[in-house]
Amino acid sequence: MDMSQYKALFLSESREYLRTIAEQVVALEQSPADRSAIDALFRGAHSLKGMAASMEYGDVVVVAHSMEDLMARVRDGALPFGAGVADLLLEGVDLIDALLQDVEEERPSSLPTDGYAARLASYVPAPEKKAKKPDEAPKAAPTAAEPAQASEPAPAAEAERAKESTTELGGTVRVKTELLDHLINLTGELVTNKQRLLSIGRELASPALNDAVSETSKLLRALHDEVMKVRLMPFEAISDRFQRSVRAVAKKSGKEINFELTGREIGLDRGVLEQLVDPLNHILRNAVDHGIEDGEERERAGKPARGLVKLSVSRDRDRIHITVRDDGRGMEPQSMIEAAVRKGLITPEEGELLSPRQALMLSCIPGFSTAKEVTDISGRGVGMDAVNAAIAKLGGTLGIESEPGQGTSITLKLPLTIAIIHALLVQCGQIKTAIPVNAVQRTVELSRRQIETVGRRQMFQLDDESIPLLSLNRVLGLPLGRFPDGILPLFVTEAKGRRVGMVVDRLLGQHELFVKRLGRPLDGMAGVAGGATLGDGEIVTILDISELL
Amino acid sequence: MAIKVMIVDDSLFMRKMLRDILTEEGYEICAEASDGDEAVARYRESLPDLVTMDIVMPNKGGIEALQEIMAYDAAARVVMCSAIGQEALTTAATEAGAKAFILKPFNPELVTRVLREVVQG
Amino acid sequence: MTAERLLVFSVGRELFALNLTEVCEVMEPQQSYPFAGAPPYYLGLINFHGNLTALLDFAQYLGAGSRPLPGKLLVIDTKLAHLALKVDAVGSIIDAQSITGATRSEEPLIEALLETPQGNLRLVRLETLLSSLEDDLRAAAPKSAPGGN
Repeated sequence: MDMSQYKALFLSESREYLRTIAEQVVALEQSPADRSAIDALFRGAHSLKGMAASMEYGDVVVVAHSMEDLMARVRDGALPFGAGVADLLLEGVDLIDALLQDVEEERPSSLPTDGYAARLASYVPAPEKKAKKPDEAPKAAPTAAEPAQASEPAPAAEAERAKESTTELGGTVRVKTELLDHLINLTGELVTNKQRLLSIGRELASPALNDAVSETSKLLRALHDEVMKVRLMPFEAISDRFQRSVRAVAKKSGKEINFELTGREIGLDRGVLEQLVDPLNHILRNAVDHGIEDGEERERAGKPARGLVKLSVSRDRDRIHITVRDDGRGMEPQSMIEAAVRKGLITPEEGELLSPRQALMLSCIPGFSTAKEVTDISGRGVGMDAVNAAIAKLGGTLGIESEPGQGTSITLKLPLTIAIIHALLVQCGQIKTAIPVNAVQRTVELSRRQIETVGRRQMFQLDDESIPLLSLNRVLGLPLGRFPDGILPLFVTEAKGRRVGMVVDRLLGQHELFVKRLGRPLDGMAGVAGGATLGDGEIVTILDISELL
Repeated sequence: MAIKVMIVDDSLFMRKMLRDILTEEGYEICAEASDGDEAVARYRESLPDLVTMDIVMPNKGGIEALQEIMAYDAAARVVMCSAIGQEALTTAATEAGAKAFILKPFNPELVTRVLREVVQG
Repeated sequence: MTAERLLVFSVGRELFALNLTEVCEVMEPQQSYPFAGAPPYYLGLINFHGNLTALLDFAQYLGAGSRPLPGKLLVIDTKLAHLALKVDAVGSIIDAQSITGATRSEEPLIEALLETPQGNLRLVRLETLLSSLEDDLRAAAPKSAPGGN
């Protein structure tokens, strides 16, 4: 936000507040118990602080904040309003006035404010009988000046320092998370830089440099992990919504449901959590709406009338597993295949090649089901294509297991953090691009002889499975590669529930990338999950393969 | 139709900033008030969809105004706004029916996100 | 909303203007990195203070044909978009008060035709530009190629 447009208004209104403060101070010296004058003084300092914080004038914030705290002590009866307090407040008024003058003339402030803040924080009226020790004084003020969440016992002076530094940054817990984002950004830039050092090290062939870089690399990994840990939030930050939505859907569909939640204490990255709400809501709604049978049907099947939907979160090293399990009617792989063939999404021949697991994944293909035609079979797929895409964007995977008659479980496996990913870098024509390694099953260098032509398709054999070949160049609208030595580099990925070999011009190896958003307008581009800068400054896009195919 | 918002803050500067943020986001600013008394009166006149309420204000503070507005309209959607130092009042505000709490200084993205969440219930 | 100050620039033989608050920097051309899957008027991505920023050949976008000039890059305010426009030349900043007349334009992209002492300016509606770029990207979404390699 461009704040310069508010500067004039800020200056004029701040000066008004300063005038009010000065007037009230003088009035209070006449009648020190005047409640409304005390309140007005407190308000004046408080408003000034808020406005200055918005303009990011840290010095003014520090001074106004100390005045506010001092007045809070007066207001709360911890400190009598005396000549000493009046002097300090008027000194503050003069100080802010001078700072505003600097702001107006756009020159850096030369006035130190720390000394003033410290004096106010530790101020005790000299002649008072019940004088407190100076270092206890600020604690005596029940103003809860530190953010409640962050408050922990600390020596007063230290607390005061902490308060000042956070104040200069905006001073709130929410702003602190911005600071964290910034830290993560910096960590990401460091990772990018490390890559650069790595490639210089390779060019120079210096063992000493390589050792240093590899040590730096370890330290960076540790730094990244620590920074990321601070961003973790317990799953319960979003779980209450699920409870509500399950209850609502159950009520609407006239079903009785027990909803169980385990692992609410498991921490996930703030950004991941935010992106999980919609996909999980979809999965849960599908489970209740289409998975769980109605009471009569359940009783006929010998099940308790009340359906069970379980949401469990667990952590497996650096990945989070989230499972939604229901004890409903389950999904029949064969019916899924038939439905997909009927809709023309796959050919009957393709259908025969699918394993039961792959057949269940058909529900994630766009077009498999729409909200309009909800049947027992395809109903489970409502919105699943969007869910799958959202999970893939987070660098996660989605798996479906189902036992007809017994129920279905959908498991999301997500990385603990998202900002730094491992990606396979490939060359297609003039363009370098990256594919997150979680989307890459393996890389293969295929000899032309190994390619079989089946109808219009080119296939190759991998682990006794016939896998179709696609050209990533073609998918991206680039000229096709030529492969004069007869070797086709490719990576194997999964699309529409089955494996595909994506041919590229060259495989450039795995890299650690710091993912950045592309912003408007490229954010709207299908098949692109973000971008990253390589060690040499080159920029690549990060592809979302499942969205591309 | 645009969502109608009433902005309550004793500082003109803050009101203007918030007005600009919200207008940019497509909200319609249907009323502004600079203290609690005015807020209650304006609320009755303009029945906004959403209220942003400063806490520390002259005459009548934000918490009191919130209570009066909630008594008048139990469905009122009021979001409290305050600079650091008033977090202790969060609980009181939530108990009185506030839908959310925004800390000043205003971060446009945060403000719009919180308001969107409140609007969407 | 009338802009207080406008940045004048030229593309092809026409003069354009953007609201000054929508532009955060005017830069010399710098290295851009091509990317796939987008319409040809994207020259590539540039690194603008750590923001990955799409570089748009504005002349090509307008169908005006690129001119053999090194040109300048107008970087749009990073809070609004990650977008830079390559234009032929950047002129002066003019004050809204020096506008002597304004007529509405038929083109959605152009907010108004402004008469100024510098000449007639076409005031670009940034939001329209951004949303039509987004629409074009959606329309250009790559389709899976049928058949094999």
